[in-house]
Parts: sequence; C-alpha cells; structure tokens
Amino acid sequence: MTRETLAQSFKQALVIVFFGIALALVANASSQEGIILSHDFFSVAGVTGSEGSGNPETGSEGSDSGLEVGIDDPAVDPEPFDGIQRATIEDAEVYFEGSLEDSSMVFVDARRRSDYEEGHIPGAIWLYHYQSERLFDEVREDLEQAFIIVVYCNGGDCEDSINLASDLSSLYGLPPENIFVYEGGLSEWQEAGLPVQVGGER
Amino acid sequence: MAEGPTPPSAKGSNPIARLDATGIPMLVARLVLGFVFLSYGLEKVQDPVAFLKVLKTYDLLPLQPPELINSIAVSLPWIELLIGIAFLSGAGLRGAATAATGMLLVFTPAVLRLGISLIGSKPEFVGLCDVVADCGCGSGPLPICEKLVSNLGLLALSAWAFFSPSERFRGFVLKKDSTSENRTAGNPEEGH
Repeated sequence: MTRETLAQSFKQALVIVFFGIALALVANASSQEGIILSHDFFSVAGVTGSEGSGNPETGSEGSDSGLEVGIDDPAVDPEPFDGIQRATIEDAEVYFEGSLEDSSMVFVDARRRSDYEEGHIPGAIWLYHYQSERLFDEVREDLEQAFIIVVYCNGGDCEDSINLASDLSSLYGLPPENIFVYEGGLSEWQEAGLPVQVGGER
Repeated sequence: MAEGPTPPSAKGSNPIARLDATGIPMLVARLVLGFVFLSYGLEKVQDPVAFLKVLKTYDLLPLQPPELINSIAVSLPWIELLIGIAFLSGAGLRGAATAATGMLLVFTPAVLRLGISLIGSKPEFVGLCDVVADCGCGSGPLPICEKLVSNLGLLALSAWAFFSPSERFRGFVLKKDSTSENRTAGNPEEGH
C-alpha cells in the first residue's frame, strides 16, 4: 500500500463522515421526530445511575452483619438524591382516583407515541420526553391547572420520567412541589391489574 | 490505480497475496460489511432516540454540552449507512474500509468496557459472557461475548478490505478501470 493510496483512503473516509453528518443534520432538522440537538435529555441521569449500581454491591456483602444491611437497605430509603418527589403505586392509585374527579391531578406519559397508544394510564397526557419542546405548548394549560402531576414511563430501568419531571420544573417553569415521578411505571401498574386505556385517546 | 499489474505479480509470492488476488476475500468482506453496516445504519436512522439512550449507557461521552452527544447519536447511523452503501457499490470502497476499521477499533473496546461495567449489575450477570446488553449495534439486547466475537470478525474483514489492493468484482463505478488494467496485465483467461 503506497502512501498515496493511504492518503486517498483517509480522504475518502473523511468525505463519507462529513457527508454522513450533513445528511444526518438535514434529515434531523426536517423530520417531525427529529431530536432537538440543544436539549439536555439526561439532566438528572447521573444520580439514578450511581444509585442503581450501588444496590447490588451492598447485597453481595452477605458475610457482614446482616442486621446492619437490613437497617441501611437502600431500597427502603425513601429519600432520592435528585430532589424530585417520588410516588409509590399506592400514591399513584390515590392520585388516579383524584384525576378521575377533576383536573387538579394529572398523569403524564413520557413514552413514545406508539407505546402510549398500546396502553396508558387512563386520562394521562402524552408528553414524549424526547419531543417535549415541540409538544409542551399543547399541554401547558392542563399541566398549569394541576397541583399534582405524576410523570411515568415504562418502569424498570427507564429514566425518561425522571428527566422529564426535572425538565417540567427547570425548563417549563412548573412548580417542583407539584411534580412526582411514579417510578414503578406502566409495567407495575399493569401487573397490579389497574385500568389501562388503549389507543390515542386520553 | 497505477498498481494494475499487482494481482498477477503477487501470484506465487505468498499464500495471502495469492488468496487476495482471487478477489474472493475482498468480495466477502464487501458483502458482509456492506449488509451489516447498511442494516445497523437503517435501524438506527429510524430511531435515533433509542441510539441516543444506548450511547449514554456507554458512559464515554460527556453529557455537556448536550449538542455533542445528540449530534453524534443523529450522525453515526447516517455514516454507517453511507459506509454500507460504499462497500456494496464499490464507490469509495477504500474510504469505507478506513472508516469502518476506525469505527470498529473504537467501538469494540467500548463494548468490552460496557460489558465489564455491567458485570454484577444484575444477579445473573456473573461473568462477562453472562452479560446481555443493548450495544447500540442496531439489533437490540445481545450477549456481549457474542457481540465481541462478531465485532472481531468484522474488524478482520474491514482490515482486509483496507489493506487489500484487489480491484476484482468491484462495482460498476470502477469497472472500466479494472477491465483495462486486466487487459494490460495480459490475462487471457478473462476472455473465456
């Protein structure tokens, strides 16, 4: 392989990369589902990540005194590090009853549209975390009326509800004391046999 | 391009050069890499958000400023798509081989690092080969070991494509050049 072919190879590779970036930016800007590049979608991601990896470590220290582990069991600790309030499934059920009565309590589904249509908590507003800037104006009024806003996603590892909850206060100016994250998410809700609405209607 | 007579002169020199002169390894590399990059790219182009989340789990890129990780999540799939097209068509083949080798050299250690970081994160993840994770390769969650092995295979193919001077079976774009080269090299069997 001569030096010229090597140089030509790298030049061609650069052309592919730049052409790819250009195509990507054009496609992203012109797509309804494009990502808003300046939006920080993981504003609280670091906190939950470290919390999650901490749990199994304490679990594996079985030989230490079992009593101590029982007392500081992180799973029992209700205080999250990120300052966002959490709702348990019991809380969520109470808020759900309330949401059926008037608009002072409302659920927010942070998942993509297809997931929402497959099944959501009845009455939940659809606000996909990755398109919240485009969608927020349509739901602003509903959210501003409510004094309890419960954000959820699938549950399990999903962090979109926490990040959206953070954006709701920091980016869209809703009072943080009104905002809760239901971490169990739709999977826990469904497993508990609670009602689910299928289709695009709230 | 001035190296037209390379294949015949390589004949008899060493087994690898002889194998390469048949054009078969290059053809295999192009087909495999072409389809792999094209399919990975297509899947991610349709769902940049899923890829963005996967990129975040790699924990390699800073999350600030958000423009960096967001732009990479949006751009990489299109670059993969173009690499796939280049491999299959033969246009920009050398560039595709260079870019593919570079990407695999970055991603393979990253997948390894991700796999190691996930050991113990779930009770069933005892060793590296127990870890199942979405590596962002466009096929959903996969056993990490399997992924590493297939990545090493792809790396070998792309390295071959990078170093091989073979112009045989190259797509329509350069057909003219390669046939004229074959003629000047005096290859009468081509006519039969």
